[in-house]
Amino acid sequence: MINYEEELKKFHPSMDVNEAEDAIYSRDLTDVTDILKEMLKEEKKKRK
Amino acid sequence: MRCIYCNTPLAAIDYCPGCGADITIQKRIVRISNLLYNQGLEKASVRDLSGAIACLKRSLKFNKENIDARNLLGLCYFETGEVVSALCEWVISKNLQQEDNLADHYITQLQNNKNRLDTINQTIKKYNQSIEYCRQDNEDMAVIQLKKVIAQNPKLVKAHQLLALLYMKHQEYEKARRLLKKAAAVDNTNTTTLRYLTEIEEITGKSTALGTRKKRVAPEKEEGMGGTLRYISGNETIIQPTTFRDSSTVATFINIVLGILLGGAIVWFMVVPASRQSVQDAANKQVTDANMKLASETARLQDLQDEIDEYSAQADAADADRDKALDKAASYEELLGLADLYVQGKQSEAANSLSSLDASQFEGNALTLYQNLMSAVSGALFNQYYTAGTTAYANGDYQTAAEQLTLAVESDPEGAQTNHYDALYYLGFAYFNQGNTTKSDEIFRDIVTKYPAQAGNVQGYITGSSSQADTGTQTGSQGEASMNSGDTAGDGQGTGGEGGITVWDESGGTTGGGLGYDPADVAWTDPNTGLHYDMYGNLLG
Repeated sequence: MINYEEELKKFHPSMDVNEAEDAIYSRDLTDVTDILKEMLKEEKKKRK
Repeated sequence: MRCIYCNTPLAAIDYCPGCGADITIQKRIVRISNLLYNQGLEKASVRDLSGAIACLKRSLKFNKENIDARNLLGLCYFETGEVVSALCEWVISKNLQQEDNLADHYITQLQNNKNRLDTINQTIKKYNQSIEYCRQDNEDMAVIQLKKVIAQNPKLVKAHQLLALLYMKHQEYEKARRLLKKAAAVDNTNTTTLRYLTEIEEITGKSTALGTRKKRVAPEKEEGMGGTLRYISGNETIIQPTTFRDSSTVATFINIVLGILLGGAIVWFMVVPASRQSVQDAANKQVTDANMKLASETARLQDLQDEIDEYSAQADAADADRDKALDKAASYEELLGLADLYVQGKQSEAANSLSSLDASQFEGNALTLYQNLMSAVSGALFNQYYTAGTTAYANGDYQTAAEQLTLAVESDPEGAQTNHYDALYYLGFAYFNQGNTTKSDEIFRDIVTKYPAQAGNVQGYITGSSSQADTGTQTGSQGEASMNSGDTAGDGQGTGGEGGITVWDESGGTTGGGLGYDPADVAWTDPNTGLHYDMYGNLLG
């Protein structure tokens, strides 16, 4: 049985055009390759 | 793609040409990203947009520089109505790859249509406002806003879902079902949409058909323009006309003739019937108009005839009333004349006139006058008949006496007159003297019935009575007594009782001169008392 109140909580406001710029700047674009690079850097540091 | 160690552009080999590092892992990551992109593309192609978005997001988690995946993700967002999210992905995509990027085309298209972008932005704001309304329990306003949002941005799946949720809360399941079907048409595997639909199906017990409509694919036309047939023979495309066309002069002439004939046929079969039909229609319309006019005139004539009949009936009624009034006026005139006669003392004439009047003609005071005159004159009538009867009796004219006395008795049916008994008495003897014993018995029995005190005077003359044996003698005595005109007719000796009649002769001679009255006025003398009366019953002397 669907609970209206619970379902309503799942709906979030959408982004409008004014918020797009902030959203783009604040977007976390980290991917697996970046994580891999980070791991290699840390590994190098440890070796030194 | 560049080497993660030295940033050298990589080739197809599994190690870096710059630093010689093993780049197998990097290449595997890129392959996974591409694999996820392919899955997303497949899902997007069957409108599994939710699944496609999930795959593409994962693809970008592996390789953020997968431009195709990002562009496709933006396209999926755009298709679900989330234009700003799509714009974000395309902008990032364009920043990552400036040249030869499809995102550039998408952004340009969006920016070229400013109104469309503003409208979409407004719908997003309204959608956010609707969520606020829902959280404030202002659901009616939320429904209104969401309806506007769906009207302006019909691909916004989230707006459909929220409005459907509101309808479901108000148990308007069919409305919710329609909305969710529209949402499923945009994104057919959205879990929220499917969950709501399942809920509705469970509540209503009615399944929802989500089948996509198959579009008819138009068959490829084999014929080209102008009725030509194309086919490929080897490396050459052969275009063959399907019809043979002769363009000689004779053929042109034949075509012109055929055209003229065809035109004539068209005129004959289409234009002429149409013109005929129009003429017939006009004639029919005229006939109809004339008939309608005739019918209206006939109706008017009938109305006038009815009016004439009505007036004629009124005139007849007025004539009848007038005749009745004239009759009544004549009757009143006669009644007044009669009253005048009565006042003048001409009671005999008044009595004669009165019998000719109809009592039903009078009313009110006239009726009262008629009744008073009738009661006053009836006594005079009685006396008139009585005097004539007794005079005739005294003269021995028993037939006339019987007639007059009968009239006298009939004029006083109630026996109100004082001489009623005498009238009956002489009437009986008038019949008796004529030998009409049947009538005389009838009269005598009437006397016995009405006047029992005087019954003894007549009982002896009733046929079949005990004294019938003396009838002949008494008859003779009575007749004899009655025959003695010019003198007092007997004094009770042998005249059948006490009665005697004084009769005056024609010359006016009197047997009682010097008595203080004109003997000519004496109509009769009471046989019992000997008193004399005039013809109106007035006592003389």
